[in-house]
Amino acid sequence: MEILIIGTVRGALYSLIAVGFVLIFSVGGILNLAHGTYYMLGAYLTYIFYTFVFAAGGINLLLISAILSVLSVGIIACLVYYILLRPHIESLLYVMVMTLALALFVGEVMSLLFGVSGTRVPSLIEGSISIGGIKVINQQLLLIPITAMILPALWYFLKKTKMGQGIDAVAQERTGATLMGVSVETATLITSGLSASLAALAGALIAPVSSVVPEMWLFPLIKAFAIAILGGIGSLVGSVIASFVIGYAEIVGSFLISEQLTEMVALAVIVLVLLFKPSGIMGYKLR
Amino acid sequence: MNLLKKIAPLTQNQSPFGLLILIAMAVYPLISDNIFHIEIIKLAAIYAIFAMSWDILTGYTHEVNFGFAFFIGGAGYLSGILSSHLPISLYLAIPVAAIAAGVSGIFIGYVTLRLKGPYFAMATLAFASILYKLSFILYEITGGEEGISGLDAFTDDPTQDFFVVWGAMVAIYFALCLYARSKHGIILKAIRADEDATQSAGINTAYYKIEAFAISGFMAGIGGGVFAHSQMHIGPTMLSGYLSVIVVLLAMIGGMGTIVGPLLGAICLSIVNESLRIVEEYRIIIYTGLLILLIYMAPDGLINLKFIKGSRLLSFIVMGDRKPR
Repeated sequence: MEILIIGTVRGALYSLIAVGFVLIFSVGGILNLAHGTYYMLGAYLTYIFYTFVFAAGGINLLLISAILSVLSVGIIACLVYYILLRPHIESLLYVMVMTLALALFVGEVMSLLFGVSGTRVPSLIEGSISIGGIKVINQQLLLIPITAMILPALWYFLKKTKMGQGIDAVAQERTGATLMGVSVETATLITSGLSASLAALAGALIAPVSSVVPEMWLFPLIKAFAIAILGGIGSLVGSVIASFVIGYAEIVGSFLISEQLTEMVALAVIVLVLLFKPSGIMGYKLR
Repeated sequence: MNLLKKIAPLTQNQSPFGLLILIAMAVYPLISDNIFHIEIIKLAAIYAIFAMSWDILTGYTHEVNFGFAFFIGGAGYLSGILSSHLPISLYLAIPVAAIAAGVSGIFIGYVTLRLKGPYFAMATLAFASILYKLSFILYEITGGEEGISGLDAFTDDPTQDFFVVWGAMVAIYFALCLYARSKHGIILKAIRADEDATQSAGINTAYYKIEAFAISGFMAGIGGGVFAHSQMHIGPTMLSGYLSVIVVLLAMIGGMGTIVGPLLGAICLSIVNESLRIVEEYRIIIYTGLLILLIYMAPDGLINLKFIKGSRLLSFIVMGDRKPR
């Protein structure tokens, strides 16, 4: 039971992070190593807006600052794509190096501004409830309904709206989409903003229950990697399934063996999947 | 005479600027006894080793190795553990560690090089992260976050220490230049241009890529071992993603696929980095900011800038190749 609940919470968190990572890779071909940084910025900007702009007043303002931080991360991501990445978008090495350098840079700026030990953000909903005898923090439980709303909304956007269909088309066949009058650049720009916002949302939601530290960008990045690879790069459904698989696997691993090994689960998944089934569980065939 | 003929290609078409830097680095400790400055150029030389050995795989084949710290830190740890836990001299421990790095290069190359582009980069990143995590989990051997301190030093004198590092750097520079100009290097360039076409010319491309991977790992292993013993310390930072990306940035900013480019890039930028220690608090921010700016302005590297390539004199000075009129 404990495994089920905590695993679901983790799976929800991971899927919020990983869906954006997979989306921007399949649409723009961008292997975004700054994805963890957007997650981190989501948490940090919530803190900045809440403490410095709204002077730490009340739950409503906290909610507003979380929304503001998600929006501003989306804008930052659009700017990063438009100014830094777009000129050399066809070079995989350039994109990877640039995004990873940005991640290091932002991490250092944050540790200079707020210290290595990090900061704290108050919870949106306080307290905890017990389900079947296990105490669960409310803030964590909040992740499940939000993810359950966001993911279908994303699916609806991609499959039913005109703009979303354009983005989907670019992901499936760039040249074909261009020929049908879809602007690849606009689609990638919107996707950058969207995927970063999803990561920032995850960061803003998890900030109250985890410490907000300058190194927090690394672990979601590795998880997003592992999920993207397990789910098959380019498959959103696969990445959602993979998120929950990895979420449960980590919890089971930490119960059976030791806490330390949970971090290794994701890495082992990356290596094993790449070696034995590089296309992942739902991915298109490679090459 | 025969030997002379074999060595002759070493001196032909060498980059005059690169040679000048190598000599200048050796002359500096003779005329100055500022230990602080000598430490800085020693560090620059070590980063140059890393950047050059990264270049021989990624610069020549465009298979992006994003987990280079795996070889550097792995070899550093291995040689540190061998020389501190066992009665082995560091002059034996470093080669053993470097060979181990080379062999693991063959292994990783064998299992990962069939992956393409981003998948290969991710796999190397994952391998490096696994080793990084292991350095914490196996803290009884590796010392956890503290690392292992008090490793054997080469000599007691920093200047002589520097010359050991310098010697390693020069040897690796010439070895890699030679390799890059041999048939093997040309095949690697062909793979970069079009792997399928190279394969259909009857060349076993996988073999050459794995060979380049092994050499790259071996050289990085030497660099890592030398680094560990010249610092007399090895810690998890030598396995971290930060080191991997700094090596990639240094080599890219210098100019990939030229050996001399990464050498120059690494030396110049490392000296800038160390000089920034006067503003220690902001050092990493300024440094990474500068690297981002440079990579944005010159994504092909400084020595591939248009005005250098366009001018015969400048391209001779920097690259060492004489273009036909």
